[in-house]
Amino acid sequence: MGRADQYSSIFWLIFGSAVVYGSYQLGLGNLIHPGPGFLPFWCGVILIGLSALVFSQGKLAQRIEPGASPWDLWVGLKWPKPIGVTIALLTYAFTFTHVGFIVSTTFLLLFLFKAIETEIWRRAIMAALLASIICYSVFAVWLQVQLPRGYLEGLLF
Amino acid sequence: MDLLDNLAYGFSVALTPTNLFCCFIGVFIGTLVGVLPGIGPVGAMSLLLPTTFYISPISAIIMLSGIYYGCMYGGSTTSILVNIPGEAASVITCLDGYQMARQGRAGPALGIAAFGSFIAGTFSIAGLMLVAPPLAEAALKFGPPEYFALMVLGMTLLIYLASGSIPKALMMAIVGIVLGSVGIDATSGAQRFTFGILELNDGIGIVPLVMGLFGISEVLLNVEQSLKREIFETRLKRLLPSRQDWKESAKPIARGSILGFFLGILPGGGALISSFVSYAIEKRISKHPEKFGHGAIEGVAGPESANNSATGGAFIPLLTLGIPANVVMALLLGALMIYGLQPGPMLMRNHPEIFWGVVTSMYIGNGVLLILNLPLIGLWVQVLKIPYRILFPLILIFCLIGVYSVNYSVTDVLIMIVCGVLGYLMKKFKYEGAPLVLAYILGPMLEMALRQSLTISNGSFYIFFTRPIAAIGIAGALLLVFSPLLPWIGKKRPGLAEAE
Repeated sequence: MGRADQYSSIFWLIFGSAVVYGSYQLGLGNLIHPGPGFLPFWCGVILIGLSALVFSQGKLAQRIEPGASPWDLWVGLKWPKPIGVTIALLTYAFTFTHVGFIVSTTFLLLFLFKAIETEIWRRAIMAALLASIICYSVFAVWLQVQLPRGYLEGLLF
Repeated sequence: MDLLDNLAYGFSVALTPTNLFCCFIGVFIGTLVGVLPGIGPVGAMSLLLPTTFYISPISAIIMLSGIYYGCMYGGSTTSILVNIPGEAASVITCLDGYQMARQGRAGPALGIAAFGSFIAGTFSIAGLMLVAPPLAEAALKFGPPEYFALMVLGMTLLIYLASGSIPKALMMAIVGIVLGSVGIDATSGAQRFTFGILELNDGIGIVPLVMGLFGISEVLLNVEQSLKREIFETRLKRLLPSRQDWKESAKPIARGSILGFFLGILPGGGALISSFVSYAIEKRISKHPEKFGHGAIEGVAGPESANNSATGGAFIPLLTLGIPANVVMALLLGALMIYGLQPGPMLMRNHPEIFWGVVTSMYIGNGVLLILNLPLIGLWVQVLKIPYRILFPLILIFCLIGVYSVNYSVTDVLIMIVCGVLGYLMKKFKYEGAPLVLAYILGPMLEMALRQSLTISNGSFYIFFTRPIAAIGIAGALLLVFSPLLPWIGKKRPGLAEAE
């Protein structure tokens, strides 16, 4: 984990620095009347300190066991799958209010069944359609959750 | 007499048809979630949290609590039959439970796990009823410094017990406090870290945060590896343990019940830690320690009792002090606040129906679980056969609907996805999510208590050292943080990390 710890600690170091900067802008106040930035500021400072500690621990581990790369964490794994799922979820989030729940959910499920896993077409289409309609019936019809109908469904139904 | 009156009142609340139904649904879903590897009680509770907005707070809390302790029951089934823990607290049950299944004794293993869980659950509920009221009375005398110190101690204990690396766990707690501070500051009215996004004025929602960190991230981790479950094919016969099984299990169940209850009260590991400690104790005091790991029934009875007893104990700090002992309790705290209820010493006084209703429903729920678990073992085995390629798209859809339905906000959905990716990377790089969520929930309360304490003391930090309870809390937290520097304490931690 040596090199991986170094990379991750750099991320948290940048995050901590941003928190320190943002909190300072908010105002620290004084000890009798702490301002809105008081606690986050000190949290940021501690985070920077801890990041430096984890970085140095990583450097030490790297010396003991050199050559380990953070990419080793993905060796032997189907790493494109989580990326594919994330992209699908983001696309869904940006489009489902426009396209509507049933259509967008069917396409998302179809993608997950077919592209991420390897179901046969007929089974994938049937499962995606069925799951979308059941979800809509349970959540929108029975539990009265206001799921978006979208422009497309406005035309279709 | 007061206790009996309160119990009668509690049963009158818990036995209403709606609450009884919610209790049944909760323990059923809990068992289902416990059986299925890959989704834990936190994920399931956050998934169902939005649906509880349509029912009364008492029914909602009864259902959510049912999921928690139901999960402990269900977890053992997967450990015994598949050698994969359905839930983290059932990890240790794999050792002897699976071996018992291989020897054709899956029935007694499942049976003793269910009976032990029932006995321990009942014991912990009785303990909860006896301990909670006097503790809540005492907590009424606590001021902001005491609360601040107890919250710091709670978070530090979780950090100390939760993972291998203290600095990393501490970092996650700090990140949690920062995330908890997003939104409009309650004291000054200033917008903190909202970046002009209107939806962030109320802060980052607990549902998208928890669903992302525990639900989506788990799916992302699972899809990149091939999960193969080999269910040990055996005919389940004779679920009731024999007289010899009972003889061997009676004392481990008793010890596990007591141990689990007290470890459950402590912030930190709760069910997980208690099951490991129970196993270690049973092995140490056994006349035949060599049998452990090869199908010793004590190795199933003790830990399964301990993890169930811990669930009851974990409710004590939440219901009496308003301080959650673990991430599941943190989620319940968040739920109570969403329903407009303030957990803490006043909850018992202002909303006795919540406290006594939940406590008695847990008693009913334990009975339901015993009836539910043994006859339905066949159904749970069938559930285990559902392939993950079918399951994960459905989990994702439930997460998306669950988050969207809270505020009908696409921003919440995006926050969940971002938290999911963050949680995935955190797990890869060995950063734990539990300290982050606990600190996120406690952060605003911690900040308020700190500000009030400083105002009371005219800006002096001595207030945390001059008041006895606060001083004990802060001293305990400091001791834990700096314990790695003390070799005689620090050397005990690697065992915990390995155990996990």
